[in-house]
Amino acid sequence: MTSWKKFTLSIRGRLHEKEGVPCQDRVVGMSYGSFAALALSDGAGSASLSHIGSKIVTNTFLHFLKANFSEVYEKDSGYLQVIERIRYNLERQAKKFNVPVKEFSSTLIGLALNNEKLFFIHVGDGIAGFVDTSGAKVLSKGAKGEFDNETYFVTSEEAENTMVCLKDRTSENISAFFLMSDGASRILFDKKMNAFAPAFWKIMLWMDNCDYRCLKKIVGNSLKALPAHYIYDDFSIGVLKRVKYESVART
Amino acid sequence: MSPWHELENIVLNYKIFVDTSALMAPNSEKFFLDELRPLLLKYNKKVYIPRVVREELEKHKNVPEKSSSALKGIKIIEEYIGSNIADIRYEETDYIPDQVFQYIVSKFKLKYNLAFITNDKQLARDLRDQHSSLSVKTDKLLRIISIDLTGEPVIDAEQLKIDLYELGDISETPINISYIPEEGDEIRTLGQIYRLGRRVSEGGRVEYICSKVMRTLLLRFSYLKSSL
Repeated sequence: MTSWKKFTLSIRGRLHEKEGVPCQDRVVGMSYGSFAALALSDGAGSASLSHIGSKIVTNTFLHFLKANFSEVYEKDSGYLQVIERIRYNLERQAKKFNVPVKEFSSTLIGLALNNEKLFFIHVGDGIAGFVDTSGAKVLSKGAKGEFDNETYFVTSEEAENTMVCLKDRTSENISAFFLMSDGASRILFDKKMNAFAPAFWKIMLWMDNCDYRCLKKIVGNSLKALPAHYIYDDFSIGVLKRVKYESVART
Repeated sequence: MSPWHELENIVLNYKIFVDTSALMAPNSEKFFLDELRPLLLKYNKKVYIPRVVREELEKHKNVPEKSSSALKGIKIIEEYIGSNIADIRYEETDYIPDQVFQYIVSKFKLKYNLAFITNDKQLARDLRDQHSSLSVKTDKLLRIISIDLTGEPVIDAEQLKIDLYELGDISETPINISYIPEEGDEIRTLGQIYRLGRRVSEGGRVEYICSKVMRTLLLRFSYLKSSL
């Protein structure tokens, strides 16, 4: 029997710390029986309420997929259903705050697993990937705008045309899925080498050796100890790691 | 490998030494009596406790704020001696535990894999430094076990950090410049013209915030004075 161990961590970037701006990244995870999901959202720096937007985006993805996985997975329009639901919740919140919905602009990387069925959606930047027996592979690098620092948001008109979507069956050889915001992928994915940095593997290894609280503390402290320019942007990472129950009991 | 399997590996393949700080740690009895003791009994192994550790605990017994932790440590040692899983060692040159452990590393690092159970971070760093000294290299291993607040072992905690060389390369391609940009200057980069906003840092690196339609952009200029 397989279950998934989750790890999620968001850290406010040094620039936001300096300016007293809240962390605009949000990553949440859920592992419940055969269902597991991860959602990561990076709020737009130019949007005043994107830290709330990213919360709405991730929470909606998680709970909507938990309640409607089969329907969303089977239907061709499943992706749009998810995006529409997120937009609906964002618009409802925008009305409450009496502000335009673009003030909640946020990206989305969402991944849900149910009995080895994978549902994946990626709007905007960041990296999603998986680890199998031959190493770590990129599942999606999302879509960036014309320039390196531009991206698309769930509320963007271009979201439907630029989003990366995937529905498939997963293999037992896949031992982990992971999501990274652009702030995290900047230091955990080496663009020049086109490979994941040793620090990424260290975090994966620590997941085996540490419990959730201990891991959060270790990774958080390690990142906070880095020079400021390494994490000037918000940093967030989410991992689902396969746990296989061993028949040998601890004596 | 889970911490429990790692601990089992250490019991099987390492000489284990116990420090005062670990014996006195909160909930240390959980680790020593419930986790380590069954493994030592299972594989018929012993831990080594310098006599100076016992003497240090005896001294702490008389200090009110340390008394209960010291008594707990003494009780653990007695339980271990009773179970025949502890070896109390003494040499004439032994004065304090830290000095004894450093002596043990220098004496045995070529011969055995060594494991120290200590909650003293400075001692752990010193032992690690001594073990990795370049003048006397060894292929034997050193492990440091500390005990967390819940009484669970944390193995090699001081190595649980990310070093810069383990991160992706974030350096940019250098270009020669004759002028450091100022606030208000127009910069052509990333295929677009930006007007530099507020300067947020300076030194060997200048950073400006520039607002764009989609997101806030951080433009960074790194320079060496000699290149100007």
